[in-house]
Amino acid sequence: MIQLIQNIINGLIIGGTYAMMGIGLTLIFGVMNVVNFSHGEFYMIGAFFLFSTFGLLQIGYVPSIIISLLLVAVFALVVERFLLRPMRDKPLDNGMILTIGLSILLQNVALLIWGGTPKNIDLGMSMSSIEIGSIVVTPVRLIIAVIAIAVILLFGIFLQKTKLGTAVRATFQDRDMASAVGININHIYGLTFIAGSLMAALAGMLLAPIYVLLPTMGDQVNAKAFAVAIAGGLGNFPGAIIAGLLLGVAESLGSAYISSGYKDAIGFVLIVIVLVTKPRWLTGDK
Amino acid sequence: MKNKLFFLVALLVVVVFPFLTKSNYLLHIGIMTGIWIILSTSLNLVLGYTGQTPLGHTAFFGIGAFTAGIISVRYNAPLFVTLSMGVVGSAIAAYFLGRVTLQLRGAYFVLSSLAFAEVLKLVAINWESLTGGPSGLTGIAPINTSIFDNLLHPMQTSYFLIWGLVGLVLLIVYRIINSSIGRSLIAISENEKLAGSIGINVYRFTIGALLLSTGIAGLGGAYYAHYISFISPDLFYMTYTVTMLVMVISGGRRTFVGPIIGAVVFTILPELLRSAESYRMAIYGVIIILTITYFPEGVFPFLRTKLKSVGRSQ
Amino acid sequence: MAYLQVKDLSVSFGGLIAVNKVSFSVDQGDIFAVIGPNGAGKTTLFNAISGFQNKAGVVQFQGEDISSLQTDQIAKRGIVRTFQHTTIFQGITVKEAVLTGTYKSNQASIWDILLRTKKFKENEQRLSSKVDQVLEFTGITAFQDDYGRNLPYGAQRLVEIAIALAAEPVILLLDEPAAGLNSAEKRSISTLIRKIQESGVTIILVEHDMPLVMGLSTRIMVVDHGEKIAEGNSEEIAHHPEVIKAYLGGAAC
Repeated sequence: MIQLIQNIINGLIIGGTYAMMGIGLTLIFGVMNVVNFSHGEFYMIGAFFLFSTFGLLQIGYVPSIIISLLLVAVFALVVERFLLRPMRDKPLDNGMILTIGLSILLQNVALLIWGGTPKNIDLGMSMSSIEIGSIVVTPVRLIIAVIAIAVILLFGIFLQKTKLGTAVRATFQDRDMASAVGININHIYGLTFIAGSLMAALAGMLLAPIYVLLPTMGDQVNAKAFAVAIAGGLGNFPGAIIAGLLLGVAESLGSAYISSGYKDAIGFVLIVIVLVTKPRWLTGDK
Repeated sequence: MKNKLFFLVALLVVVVFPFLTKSNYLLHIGIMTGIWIILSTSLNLVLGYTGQTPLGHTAFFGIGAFTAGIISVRYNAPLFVTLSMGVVGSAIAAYFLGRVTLQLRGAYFVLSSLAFAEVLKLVAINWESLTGGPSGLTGIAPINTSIFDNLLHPMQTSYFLIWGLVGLVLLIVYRIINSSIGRSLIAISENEKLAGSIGINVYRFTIGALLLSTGIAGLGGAYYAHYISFISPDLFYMTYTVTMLVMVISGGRRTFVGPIIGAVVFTILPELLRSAESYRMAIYGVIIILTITYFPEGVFPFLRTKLKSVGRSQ
Repeated sequence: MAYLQVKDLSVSFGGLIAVNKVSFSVDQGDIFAVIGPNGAGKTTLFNAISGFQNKAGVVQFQGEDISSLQTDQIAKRGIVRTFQHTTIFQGITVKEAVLTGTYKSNQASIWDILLRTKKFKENEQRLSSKVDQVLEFTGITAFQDDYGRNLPYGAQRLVEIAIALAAEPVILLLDEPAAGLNSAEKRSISTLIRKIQESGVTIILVEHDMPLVMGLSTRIMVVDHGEKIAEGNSEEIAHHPEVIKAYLGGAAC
């Protein structure tokens, strides 16, 4: 029983980062109509930027994260402005191919810069576990969970309560209408891509201290982000959050009780279940 | 007239090429070009003619390869049987997948197709007794027809077999797309509602195109299994689909010639880039980005309109 | 027996009733117009007849119940429609688009297509000359090599009708064919509709332009809030008190 709860909690912690990835993907799809195959690469560069700033500047984890996020934001802005903007009003495939090209480019540039040997970030933080009752959690994982929850909540507040967030939601629902009421679509697109990419990058930074860093680390994670976004219903934020947490728990339980070989299949099984049961939000044209 | 000339020149190049070179490396590239033409033509049938984007299309390449490979290894069946079974196996799988996913549109179809390939990949990795697991399936009978032994060496036999298959596939596809069937498919990809309103059964045509497309991909896979005589779960990796997509979209969706051009260019290009070594894949990424940015409709439609406007101004 | 008979046709979305027990019948060779204010349920009625919309009630064509058929099966019986918002094939030329419309009269089997038999060639030639006729008939021969998306709006509407005509309709449902046209274009579309009727096609027309409707129609049905409120010839409708109240607002005539 304790073991079960332990697995669920581990799953929820990782699931929080899946939810972040999924939200980013869903946001970019919902607002910009781009199926972003370079989303996983933003996760990857997030982790590597952190690795470099943390290692080179020696300014500690949190300042490094802030600097890295700024760098990612600038990069995302450049990508949106110069690569994605020409893809607007083109078929869905064009944007998809572009982001696939970008993903190949980023992976291989990362390989040239950081090499193919696995890296890790040592926070020097005590690995001794915190015990709450009989449940054991390492401090790092606890921090990850807290930050993930905070970011998701803040993002929700931003969308619901701020003027800019309202503009994003309006564009989400009807671009032409939003444009007609004076919302600057270029700004919203830029902002959306930055926000979505930062979600991915931050997830990468949060997980960097507990995973190894490789230029190809985005592939697997991207597949999971897709699973989360599609299972939650593309363009559906609460759906992405729930699906992300569910996927995390399902993977954690799956590898504990079924087989770790099929662990990565769970996300796709989730997709298949969703597709076969065909919930209402999926089959409708809108 | 001009088209006929192009065709005859292309035919001549394909036939004469294996006699001009003794290099197995060049023959190998010739064979891979043929395989990729089959795959890109197959993908174009779905991407260009039904308006759906099958991101897991390599699943059918993989199913064809594993069907042929397993039958060959277990029953030692002759080549024409395994190739046919590769076609049939892929088409059957596509039929069941299509029944579920063809009701989905846009991004949902894209991702469900991807999920299908990913699940198959994991099955191929984990079902070791059938597929050989992560280390793959070995001992598939190589392409070896003794009838031609005196005339051609084995690489040449493989070469002519694949180009014979390419010819067959292209002939079938060309005739299908230049007919009422092709017109109906274009109508569906342009506007499903309007297509239905003039009497076209959207579902029947879409699933028909899917079966033809996946059967062709299965043929490519079955040939590949015999040619390399080793297959692994790698065949289900998204990279294969991505390569097909790049070929079709850069060449020109919904054109007959575009995917062929795309396949030739993107088979040979990475080989030329080999001298760039570690920069190779990064350059490849840049080329994809530039192509989709500057030729959003594909290179072939671009060239066609350029040629036409030159013709007009003369 | 009526050519097309509609009995108690109802359509509801969720709890909202868009069409409520509408019955009418259309005789062969007529131009039957459906008029009513925006949101009265005219287009929904069209969607229901042409199989795009789930519905309750019965639609009979020449005595056969066609209410449960799919769109393409209905089209195969010769009931072909156009759409309210211009709906054509954008990415192919006008000639190709109209050729696509000939789908129903295609006689070549898959084997004819694969083997390029004599039958295939004859069939293609027959369809191609059929397309030339339709282009000529609708007056868009000059546009035949242009892409749909590059055409002026008025020409797009004609292409839409040409595609429908290529499908050899016996009943043609036109959903606001004159919407957005200038007065010269309206006159020519009115002439075209008359020409189509004279070629033996029964026409059901949804239209807002009252002079056009009054000038063309054999019978007119008025709907409001999803219900049929009147039916008659143009003379009767113009003087029907309910109609004047609901639709014409008393001032329009």
